Amino acid sequence: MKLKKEDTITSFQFIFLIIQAQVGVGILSMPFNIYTAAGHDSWISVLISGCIIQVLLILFWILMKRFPSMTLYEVLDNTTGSFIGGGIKGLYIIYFTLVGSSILSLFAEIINLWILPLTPRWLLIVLMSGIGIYAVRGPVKFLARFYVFVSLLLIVFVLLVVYSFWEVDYLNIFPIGEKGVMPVLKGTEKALFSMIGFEMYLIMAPYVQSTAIKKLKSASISNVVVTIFYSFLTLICILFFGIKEFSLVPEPLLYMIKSFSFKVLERIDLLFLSVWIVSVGTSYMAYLFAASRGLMSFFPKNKDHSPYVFYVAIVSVLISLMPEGVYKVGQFSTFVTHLSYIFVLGLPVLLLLLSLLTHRKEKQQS
Amino acid sequence: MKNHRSNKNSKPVTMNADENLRGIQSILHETSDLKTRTITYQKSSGVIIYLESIVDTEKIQQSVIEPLNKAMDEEGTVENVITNTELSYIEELHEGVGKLLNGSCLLSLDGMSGMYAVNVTNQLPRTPEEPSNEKVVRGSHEGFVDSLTQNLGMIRKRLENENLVIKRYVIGKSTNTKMAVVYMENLVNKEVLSEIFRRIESISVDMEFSPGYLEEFLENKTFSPFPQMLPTERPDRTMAHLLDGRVTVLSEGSATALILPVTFLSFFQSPDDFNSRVLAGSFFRLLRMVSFLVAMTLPAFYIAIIGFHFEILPNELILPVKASLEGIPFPPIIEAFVMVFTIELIREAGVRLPTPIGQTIGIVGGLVIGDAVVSAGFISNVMVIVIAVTAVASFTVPTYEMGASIRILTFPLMIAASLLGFLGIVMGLMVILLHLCKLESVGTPYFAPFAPMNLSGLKDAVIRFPLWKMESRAKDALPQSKRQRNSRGWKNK
Amino acid sequence: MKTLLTKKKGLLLGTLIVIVLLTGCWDQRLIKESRLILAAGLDVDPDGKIIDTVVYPVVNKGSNAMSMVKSVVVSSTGVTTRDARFNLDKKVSQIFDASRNRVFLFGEKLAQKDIYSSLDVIYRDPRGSVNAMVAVVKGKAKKSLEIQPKDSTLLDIYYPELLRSTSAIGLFEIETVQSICTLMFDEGNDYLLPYLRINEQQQRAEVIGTAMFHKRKMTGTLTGKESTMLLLLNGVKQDYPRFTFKINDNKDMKERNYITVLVNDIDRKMKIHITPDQKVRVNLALKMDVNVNELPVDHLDSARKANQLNKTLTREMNALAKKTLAKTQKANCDELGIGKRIRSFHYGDWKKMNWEKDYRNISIEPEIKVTIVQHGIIN
Repeated sequence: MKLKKEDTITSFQFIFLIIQAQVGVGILSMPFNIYTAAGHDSWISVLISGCIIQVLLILFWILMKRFPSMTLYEVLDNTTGSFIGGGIKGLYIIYFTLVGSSILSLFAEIINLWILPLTPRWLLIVLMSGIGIYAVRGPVKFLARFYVFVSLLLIVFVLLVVYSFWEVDYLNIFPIGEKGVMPVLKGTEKALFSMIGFEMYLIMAPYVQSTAIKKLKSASISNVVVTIFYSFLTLICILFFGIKEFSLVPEPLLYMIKSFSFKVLERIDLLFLSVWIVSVGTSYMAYLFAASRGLMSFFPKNKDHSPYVFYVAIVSVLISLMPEGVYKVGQFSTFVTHLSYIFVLGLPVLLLLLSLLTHRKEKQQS
Repeated sequence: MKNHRSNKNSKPVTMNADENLRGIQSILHETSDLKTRTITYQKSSGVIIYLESIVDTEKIQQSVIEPLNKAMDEEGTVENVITNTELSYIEELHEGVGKLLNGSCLLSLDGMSGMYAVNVTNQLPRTPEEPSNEKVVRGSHEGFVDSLTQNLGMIRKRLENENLVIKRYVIGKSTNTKMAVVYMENLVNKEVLSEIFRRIESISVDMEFSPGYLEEFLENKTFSPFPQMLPTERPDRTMAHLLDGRVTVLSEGSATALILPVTFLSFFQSPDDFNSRVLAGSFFRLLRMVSFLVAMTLPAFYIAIIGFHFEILPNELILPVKASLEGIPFPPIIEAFVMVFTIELIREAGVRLPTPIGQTIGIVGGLVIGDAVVSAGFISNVMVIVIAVTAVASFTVPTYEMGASIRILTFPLMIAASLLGFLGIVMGLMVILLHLCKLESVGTPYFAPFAPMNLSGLKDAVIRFPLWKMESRAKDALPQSKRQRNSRGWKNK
Repeated sequence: MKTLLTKKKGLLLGTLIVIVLLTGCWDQRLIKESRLILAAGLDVDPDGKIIDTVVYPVVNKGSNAMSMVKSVVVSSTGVTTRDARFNLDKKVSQIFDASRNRVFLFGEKLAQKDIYSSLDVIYRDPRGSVNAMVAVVKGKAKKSLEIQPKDSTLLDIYYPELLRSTSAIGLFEIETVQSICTLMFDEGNDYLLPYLRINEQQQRAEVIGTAMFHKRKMTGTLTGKESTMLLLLNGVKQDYPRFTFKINDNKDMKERNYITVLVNDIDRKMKIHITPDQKVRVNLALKMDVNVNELPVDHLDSARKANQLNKTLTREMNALAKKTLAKTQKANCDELGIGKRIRSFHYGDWKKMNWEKDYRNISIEPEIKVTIVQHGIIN
């Protein structure tokens, strides 16, 4: 064994990096969002969107395999030239920053709504982003270690939700396919947006020290885990709330857990929210890293992203403070998720086509 | 005579004394406590070889050198001349080394095809006492003393192994304190070792007072609340860590050895775990880890509950808690601070005083103040319970340093809890966890095997598995060889 | 240069901490400064206003560690539940906190109007006590909170315990604020709530049966025996469901005409037959294993006698079941969830039906078979 001086992560850690980037602020409202479109067939939508993500991951993999030691940013420079590439890079940085701010914004909104109604939003946002800065500064491997460790909390998450199996009515998922195919597909779109975060593959892949096929394996494992996890959550919520009540509760998971009580602890939702805060933190950190890594790519001499984290964080805090109130925050996050059409689906696929057509590849160094 | 080591690349003793000396030196990796003295006997020159750390030099002088000098010109074999009770004739170098490690000195003369081994083991001048802050229920009650040579001897005595290497340094321009770095040549990670050497060699100070000084000179992050080296006064603990591929630093005039690199979890292990039975050992180890969490978060948790989220209390508990808080003049955070402060006062007063007075202080402080403060209505009795449990939990951690860091970490968490409730606690814990993930002890991850996660490592570190299940070494110190043993050979037959 | 940078950062961090510490704790709600509502009763007055009655404990700290706790009852009127609570706040020192409320009692009048509107405030509040039990009181709920039962000095302990113990003897399943919410919105699935009567002479409340609900309204009542039967027909067996039946008429001493059985085990099968023109016939097969608890008249010394008794019990049970089901249909309370089953498994037929009306007209045929399996430690 060697003392690792260079900044790399293992493929095992990579699995959790992607899971933690995906599971985040949206998890509380995810079942509701999908439900509004797909009704009680939502869980099918989640499964379908898992398959779509798998296809996308394979496309990403083909792209990144051609440039094994580059992140998305260097690939952009390489395939589209430094001028256009630079522009798109800038857009990506803005996109990642925006996603970061929408995470912060939703986080503050839900905390205000559920546990601390009077605490000012700015304080919650600044504190969360402060933690983000501390986490992202320094090598990625530290971040990866943290992600793997806090993934233990997801087990708590699952256990809390599994408890509800005693309280559900199985008849609620029948009749399957009541509304036909279209609503399910619409739900798939919503589900896809809730599962955003897998684009971290494009940023993190070169940091993983293993073979190309193993990277794909890790990403697939994380996708399968998240898909199963999400469809499980959606299913439980449907079973619990039934048909009509569901449309009244925008944070179904919390609401469901709120109604349980154990002998030692009542109000399990507080425990659940505490676990959720960590998940929010990890996905914010992922985007903070992605954006500051992008800034770093503008300065080829610099080999460390740490100096830029601070600036990205400040910008994301300022943006996240702008929308206020449940509706504005909702609009803002919808806007950001719609942006991901371009940045997660469109551009990477275009890039892949471009690199395939022009036969661009990273020069192999032996 | 059949030698069990003859199948190895063992060399026979040659006729040349210098050559023998060089052979032995290379087998022992030029360890610094290997000493020699040249003599002449019956016109052939020779050399006496011994390990300074475990022999009694006076004995060599009395039973080897003096008789040899007296019989300088007389006829007679060495057997006849040397007055020591134990004397043997050796033909293999490795056998000689074995004797050497046992505390014998070797006599090699030019023109002789073998060597004589004379037992001159050092009888320790005073029995080392059990270290008072690392007591165990069962097992060794020996502790390091203030003499470096004697401490090294204690390690040697436990590790009769040719791979045990001692490197000496002198630090402190004015004090010229002797220091020794001890490690297992075949286990220690070479990069870690050279990093430690690099750090030690770069130290340039006037005074090296104690291992505490050394710790600050060597560690990465001084302002971290967590100790990054394990100080111990127990030779058995030192030995176990050496066999895990770690490095020990000792210095003259101090009974404390520093072990590095260490992980967070090594602070929670006690030799007792391995002296007691598997189930009991695992239970106590888990108990200590739980007590770590309790000591750090319980006051914060309580403050958050009574200040923010009292709806989390079950029905049966909510009325008693409310009843005990009725009429308390202070907000919970002040209440907690006063109580914690009082307990720290009692502890600090108790440490410095002789035992009987210390106990009195404990009783006066604990019982009298605790009772009076509740009946006077200053502090609620639930808060007294909470803080008392916290204090007891923080003392169950087997190393004093870690206990202290836990008590320090309680304060920021309490403040965070009083500002933001559970959210504050979670955020505080996130920062602490991030810090632990970022911390490294001489280049090895500090929070292993949690981060980076390592399942097989977890099984050794968190639960104490049966010894015969732990066939591979702990990986956190990145040792060279992984396989440790096959201790239940009889099961396979 | 580098030290300057760290100094700046330190300063920034310092200011941030100071700001946070100075502005203080926004959301702190100390438990010692809250009035914990532990039971609440809701009524409607003739003008349609809501009367909110709450019970909270008051602690009088004694000289030693023992403190005296006693319940205090206040009530107030408002146009909505929240408004009534708001008016209460004006009367009482310290701030009300309803997050630990354990029991909601509805006056019969209010229950017959709409219970969802009164509970809306609880569903909407993140700290709302959705775990509280719900029950309906015959007459006014306010009365139920003014009695002083001897079982417990605190009403807020008395009611939850009463409901829990009566649930164990098989009268009803405990419903909480959250569990009825799901049922209120569910189509083709209704619920029962415990129905209490206040005995002012004994200063006690008594569970006399259950109140049948349809969607948000109370639509009828069942006696205790009928409730137990309905629960068993629904496939739910609590710990000790008991029945007492008359098996004789001719004994001089009244007590000797009766038998009491404890239901030991049940096995229920529901079959739904739908004709093409949406005529629904439900077959409820229920097998019961019972223990004889009390049989003063005779000895069960032979299998033949037991068989005879089985037949009598089966007959009685079937009669009771028919009566009960007829009552639920009259009240339009689909406690058995037949509609939901039709919706789940016969969706095509469901769309053509109007369950609001059709439930009254479907035929439900109970088929109960009783077997005595134990008779206590004497024959």
